[in-house]
Amino acid sequence: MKFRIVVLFSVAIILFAACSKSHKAKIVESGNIVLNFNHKIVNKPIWYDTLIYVNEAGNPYLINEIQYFISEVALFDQNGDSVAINQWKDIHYVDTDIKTTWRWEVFDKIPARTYNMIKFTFGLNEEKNQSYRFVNPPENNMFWPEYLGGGYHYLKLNGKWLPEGEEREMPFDFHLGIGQIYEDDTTYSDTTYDIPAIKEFVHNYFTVELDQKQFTINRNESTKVEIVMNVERWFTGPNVFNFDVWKGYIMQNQQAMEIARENGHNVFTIGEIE
Amino acid sequence: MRKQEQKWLLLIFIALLMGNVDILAQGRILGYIYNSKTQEPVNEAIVKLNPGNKRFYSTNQGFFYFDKLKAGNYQLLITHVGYPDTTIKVELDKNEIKEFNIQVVSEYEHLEAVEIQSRFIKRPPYLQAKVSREVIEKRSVSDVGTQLRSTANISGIRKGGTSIDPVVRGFKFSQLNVQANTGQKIEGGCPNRMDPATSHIEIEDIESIEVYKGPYTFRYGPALGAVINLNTTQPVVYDTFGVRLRALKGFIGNWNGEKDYLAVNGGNRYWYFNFSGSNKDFGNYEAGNGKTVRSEYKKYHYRGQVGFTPSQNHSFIFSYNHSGGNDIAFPALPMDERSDQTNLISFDYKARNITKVIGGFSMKLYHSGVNHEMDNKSRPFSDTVVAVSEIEAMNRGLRSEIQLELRSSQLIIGVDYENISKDGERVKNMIRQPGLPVKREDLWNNAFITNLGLFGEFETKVGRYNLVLSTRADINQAQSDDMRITAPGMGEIYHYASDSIETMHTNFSLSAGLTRQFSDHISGSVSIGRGIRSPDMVERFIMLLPIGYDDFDYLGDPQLKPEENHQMDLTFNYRQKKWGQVKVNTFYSVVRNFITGKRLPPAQQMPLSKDVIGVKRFYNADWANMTGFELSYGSPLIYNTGIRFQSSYTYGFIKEAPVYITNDAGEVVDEEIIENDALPEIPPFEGRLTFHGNYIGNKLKPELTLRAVSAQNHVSESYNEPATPGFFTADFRLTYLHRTMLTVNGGIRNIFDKTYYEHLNRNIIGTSRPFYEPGRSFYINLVIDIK
Repeated sequence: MKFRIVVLFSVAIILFAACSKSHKAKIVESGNIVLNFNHKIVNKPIWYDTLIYVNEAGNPYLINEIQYFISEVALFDQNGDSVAINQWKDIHYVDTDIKTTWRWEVFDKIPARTYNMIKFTFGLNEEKNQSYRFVNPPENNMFWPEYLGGGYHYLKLNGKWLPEGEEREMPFDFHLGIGQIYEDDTTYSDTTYDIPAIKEFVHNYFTVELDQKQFTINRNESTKVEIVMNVERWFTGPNVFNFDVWKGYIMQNQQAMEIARENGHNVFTIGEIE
Repeated sequence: MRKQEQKWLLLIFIALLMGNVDILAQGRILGYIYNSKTQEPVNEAIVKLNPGNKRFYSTNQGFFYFDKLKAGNYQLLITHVGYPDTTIKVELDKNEIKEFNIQVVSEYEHLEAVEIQSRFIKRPPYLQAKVSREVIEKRSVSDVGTQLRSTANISGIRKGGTSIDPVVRGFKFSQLNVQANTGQKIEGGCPNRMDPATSHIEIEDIESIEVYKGPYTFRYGPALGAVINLNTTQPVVYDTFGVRLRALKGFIGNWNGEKDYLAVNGGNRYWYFNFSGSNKDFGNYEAGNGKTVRSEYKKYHYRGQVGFTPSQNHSFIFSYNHSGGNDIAFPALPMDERSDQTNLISFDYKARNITKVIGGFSMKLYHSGVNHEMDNKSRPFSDTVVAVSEIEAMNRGLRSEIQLELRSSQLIIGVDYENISKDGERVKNMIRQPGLPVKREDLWNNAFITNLGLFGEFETKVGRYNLVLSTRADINQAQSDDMRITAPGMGEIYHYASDSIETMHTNFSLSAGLTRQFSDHISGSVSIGRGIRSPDMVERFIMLLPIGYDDFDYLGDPQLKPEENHQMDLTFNYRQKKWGQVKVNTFYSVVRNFITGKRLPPAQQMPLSKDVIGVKRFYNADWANMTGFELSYGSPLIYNTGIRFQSSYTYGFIKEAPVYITNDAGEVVDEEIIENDALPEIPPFEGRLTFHGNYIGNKLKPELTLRAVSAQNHVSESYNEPATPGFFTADFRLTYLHRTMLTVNGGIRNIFDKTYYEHLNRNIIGTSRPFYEPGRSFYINLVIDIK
């Protein structure tokens, strides 16, 4: 009799254990933000691979593709209080050839309030810019050669320009990453492995502050904020970038990258807010 | 069919023609042979019946059987190494059935399976599975994991053609205590478990495999889910000098695989030896769909044992085993095993009948060393990064126990100690980068774990009750050098705070089991146990390697808490000589501090391995539950034709598990906690039906096994585990005992050439393609045994 009871008890336990799956309800006290990345020239969508643009220096040019990292994104409210976006990821990669990268659905729950500035680092700071950080494409294709400082490109802006007096356009790799100061204080306009000793590396990442528009994160709602890269601004204000002067390759030319870095502060704007 | 296969099948056919048939007489003589001291069945005893010159090798249950006998006077002669010959005269009337329970007495102990056996309980209150060499040879499998997969509720994780990693009732990896010859532990070198402990013992050397299910017996070390004890053949004591030679030549079609094995043992009553060696060369196999699966491997081993018995009750055995493997393909892992060099050394001392109270004493010292090298040179992405890993793993320790005889009770107390150490690195050659930079990453950095345990096991019999109590206490310590990965010229990729790497746990495990004999045929058992195991080397110290079920780099956590299994088993047993044996078992287990992986945000840690999704860190989940049953039936052995049936099922879930919501780009956009999520890698329900026969004077033994496995739809959401379809397979085996010296085993696996895969098979790395099991395969073994 006792044995029967034990058997029945065990069967009951097993049946009780096979209960169904249930999902816990989430308690959400905040809203979400989605960052949409767009790329324009003179306020219009880019016609890629078409030689129809002229920069401030008068160089006719075309754009093939744009790839870049932004990191350390933070939102600032009117009181100057900030919310860092870093709960899941703190680096975002954008590639004009990969549509899924144009949209960053931020994991973090953003406190519901009005914000009047987005601040981010263009590129990767010293701490984050570690070689082999990214092991999978497309991010790992942004690697910056070890002998030039390692880590990753902040920006690859690839295209062509028509040199003055020439009939055939030349390719340009308008790339930003770790710069180098060479022993002979020269610069190199072509990629070469036969280089003199480097006496110093320069981290060319920079901070971008976008305060053109304010936006509100509503409780339990998702707010879409468009971030626009105005590509023509890489070549103007405060410095005019002339491809005929700096040529197509600037990875070993810190002076040229310094110009791009200074111009980069003004490249981004906030677009539409939904 | 290949020419070689045709050749072997022709050989089987000729062998069959050489048998003779006797269908006239109806009398029967049958029985069981037991060791008079241990009451264990004696298998492989030669039972000769004269007149008629009939022979029968006793089975794993000690069973023998002669049928179709005319009335008359007969003589049974039982011979077995280590036992004196026993003769029994039998007078048989017409159509009479005579049954014997024969007790054989060993003057000199037969030292196979060095273990002090219980003299009280032939059937412990928990489930114990035992696989003998006879069964292993019949199936002609190539590794221990594959053999174990044919046992009820034991499955295996396949990552390559060999070295299948056993899973017992859903418990796996360090939840299983795997050891050789009662006490020798082996630490595999590979963090991806290319070489689980079971893969370092060659199956041809196995005398028996014992599986103790549940956290109930603690004589073998900490036990959480089960204990797997691999008993290898041991030197045999002969009264006068003698030598025995055993050789095996096997061929497996489909794989185009060959294996050779040779063992020689001999000696006399004072000294004895046992030498063996094997070689295996297997190619790729074809799945049922005709597609080739990378599964090639080459393995070899050699072993030497010498023993000395200075007086009747004392023996010493020294053993050395070296095994190696080359070019072992693991298409489900990011690397292949390029080389494995394993050395197993042990020294055993054993004493018996020391005093009236001290029935036995044993001591074992051992060293297990594994050198494991693996690389990605056969993988497509080796054109970008060539990675080579080399790991040294060692497990050294001792085990000693004393057996006390206390009237109707028995008490075994003992101590064991193990020291596990691991060191290794991965070297990456970045061949697409200018200057060919080389990157070195520590996989382990002089990590070690020590475990000191005290155990006791008490057995007693009161009336119709058998009671078994078992307990142990463990002190477990772990330490590692700095857990840090740095990139050349750059900062740290990973660093664990060095002031919290060292840990110590004190664990207490205990169990109680009761068996009630309701009648001569019916018994019932209940076992309750609490087994604790400390986190293993991987769970504590691994640094960014894809070792798990899913495509993530894993990080260890030195601060993990031990895992506790609280389990209950109920077993019902019915055994009747005319009707056979039915066994029903159900178990219910709650594992507290369940160790599993939890995803880390990329902002906290980026992965290091190519093609992985992200990083997971081991953590203690609150609890997980596993419950299930096993059902088996075996027809009585007195009939020439019989059946065996077994079925099993495990249902496992975890109380809470994080699930990550992703967008179209695969990016995590939200997190949810789900309740009662399925545990990953839990085998589905399956049933196995075997028809077996025993014909032509016990010379011909055919077997047909039908296996039906259901779909597994109870899958882990948090691990993105895919559901798998069910399947049905059939295998046929035939054993022909041509002469006492020659046995031929052959068969066909997967007769219908089904395209199927087990739920626990890992996918081909970097794809969602399943790892298919072999299609139809023919095999044949020739076994020569000269005594």
